[in-house]
Amino acid sequence: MIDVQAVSFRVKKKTLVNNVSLQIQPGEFIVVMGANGAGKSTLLKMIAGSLQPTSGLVFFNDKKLKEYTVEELAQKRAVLSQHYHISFPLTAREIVMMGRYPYFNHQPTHKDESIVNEALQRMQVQDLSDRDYNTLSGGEAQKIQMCRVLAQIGEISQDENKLLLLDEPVSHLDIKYQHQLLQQARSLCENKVAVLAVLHDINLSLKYADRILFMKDGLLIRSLSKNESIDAHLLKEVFDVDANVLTMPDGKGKFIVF
Amino acid sequence: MYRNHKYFFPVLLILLVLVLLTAIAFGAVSIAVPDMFSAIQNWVHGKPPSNIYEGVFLQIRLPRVLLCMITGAVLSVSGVLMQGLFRNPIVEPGLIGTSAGAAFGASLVFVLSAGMSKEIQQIAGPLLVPLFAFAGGLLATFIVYSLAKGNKRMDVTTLLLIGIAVNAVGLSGTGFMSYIARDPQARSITFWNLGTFSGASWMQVWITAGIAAIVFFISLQYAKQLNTLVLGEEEANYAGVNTEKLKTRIMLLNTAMVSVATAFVGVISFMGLIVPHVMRLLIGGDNKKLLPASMITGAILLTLADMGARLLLAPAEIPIGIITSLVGAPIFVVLLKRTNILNNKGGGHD
Repeated sequence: MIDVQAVSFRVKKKTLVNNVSLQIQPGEFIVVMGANGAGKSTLLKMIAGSLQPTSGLVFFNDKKLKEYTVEELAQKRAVLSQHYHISFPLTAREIVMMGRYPYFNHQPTHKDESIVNEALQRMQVQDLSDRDYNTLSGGEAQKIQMCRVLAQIGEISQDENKLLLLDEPVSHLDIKYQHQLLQQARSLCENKVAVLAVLHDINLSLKYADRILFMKDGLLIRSLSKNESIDAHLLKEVFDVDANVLTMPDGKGKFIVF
Repeated sequence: MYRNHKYFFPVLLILLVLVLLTAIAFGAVSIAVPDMFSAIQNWVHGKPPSNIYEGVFLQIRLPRVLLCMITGAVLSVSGVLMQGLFRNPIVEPGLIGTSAGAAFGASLVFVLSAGMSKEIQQIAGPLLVPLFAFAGGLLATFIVYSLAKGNKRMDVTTLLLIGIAVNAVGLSGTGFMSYIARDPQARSITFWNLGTFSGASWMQVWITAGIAAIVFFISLQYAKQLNTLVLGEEEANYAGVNTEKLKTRIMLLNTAMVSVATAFVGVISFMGLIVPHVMRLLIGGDNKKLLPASMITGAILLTLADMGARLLLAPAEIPIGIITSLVGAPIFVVLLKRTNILNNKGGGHD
């Protein structure tokens, strides 16, 4: 459903993303990994449509991404960005409701209200809903923003392909909620929503991803699917650290110790 | 966080009516309520006012109070729109050059048309003055906006400093116009800098009311989109808002409305700052509620300020800008301090 064809992004003389191609299938969970400045967020923004590639094309459901209007795109894909600083007093629920804005005109319908409730419930944050967003902790705010994008994905119908983009979605979360959030994303995949997430934790990536894309200096250097096994060479090349690849106690899958 | 104030809007509306009646009744000449009714009856039936009180009511007091209410609503709504657009609670038309630019545009016509033919003077008042005020206000706002925007991230300090610079240029331009003016009325520089409603006429009421009504209506349609801007421009875009289109439209509408009001009554500072701030404390930041609440409260507060201007040193009159600045400046300082703290805590990310 997503076809990224040889995209590059240059600012002045620096190439942030260099000739990257990839395809995403409906229901696929893809994780992008790489060191700081590898071009992960830039790639994500080009797929989101907020950055125009300097060269190359992105297709969404066989149509060029730039041919969609912002309104159309908002009903097909949602994006969780890294930072949110809000200067006005709004309740957490009002923020989550913004995820439904692309779907109603003036007043939210009953359906919008119930989708918002469901999103709050999925992230187990119903009790935050009337709090002022500015008084929330970093982790709480991140959960609320996740609720907002969940609400924006909204109802899933089988004949419509939707895309969820997550840029470091678990950076402020404790271990329990890191899994909670990624499980929620994973459960969307079962309903044919494609997910692309930028993560820094290799073990979380191994657990949830169908495919891990490793980036370095703007290049996509390796695409590792679930049935391929990871090796220390790759990690040395991508992150420049020595890693030990160990087998899980149950014999299924690997985990990494640095 | 906020209880759903069921009585909030009804109470505001009752206050509005009470303030309207009080403001009409008190002044250099007091007007009794029966005189108001008989004046309106005479006017409806096309008869001339039957006594001096009715005359004062119809020709002086009523247009003045109405213009004042509309202007208060205009400045407050403008505060909400500009703050939403700049994503910052300390922005208002007086600070980002709109008012100063508009005042300069208006004074330009005012002074230059004095030497021209009667025909030009006749269209100058109602037509050219608002038009030039709009051009001046738009130019000044645009300069502040694009300079402060710089390399994508809007820095509040830069914004305020550029605002000061553009304001200074606008005000010195107005000062120069007043200086070279032959007309003694135009020489009154205080009018442009501090604002007054003493010259209110029905013509001004109709023009301002017409433009304000259109802009209020359209702003309400954009309330939802304006809400998403708090997430940041990129995120608003992801949520389905064409931010470039939104910004251009809001800026044009807002500048039109503020410029026309400024052309008639001069620069009135801090209204656009105080009202939205107080309203946010009471009912929260949702623009769907904030816009109408600020509109009504702005009308109430500016009318009260104008009563102060008329009555405190009666029979002399204080420019209304002095009163709004005296009340507004301390609130502005408090807001500024709070915003700084917020920025340090949240990293000030846009």
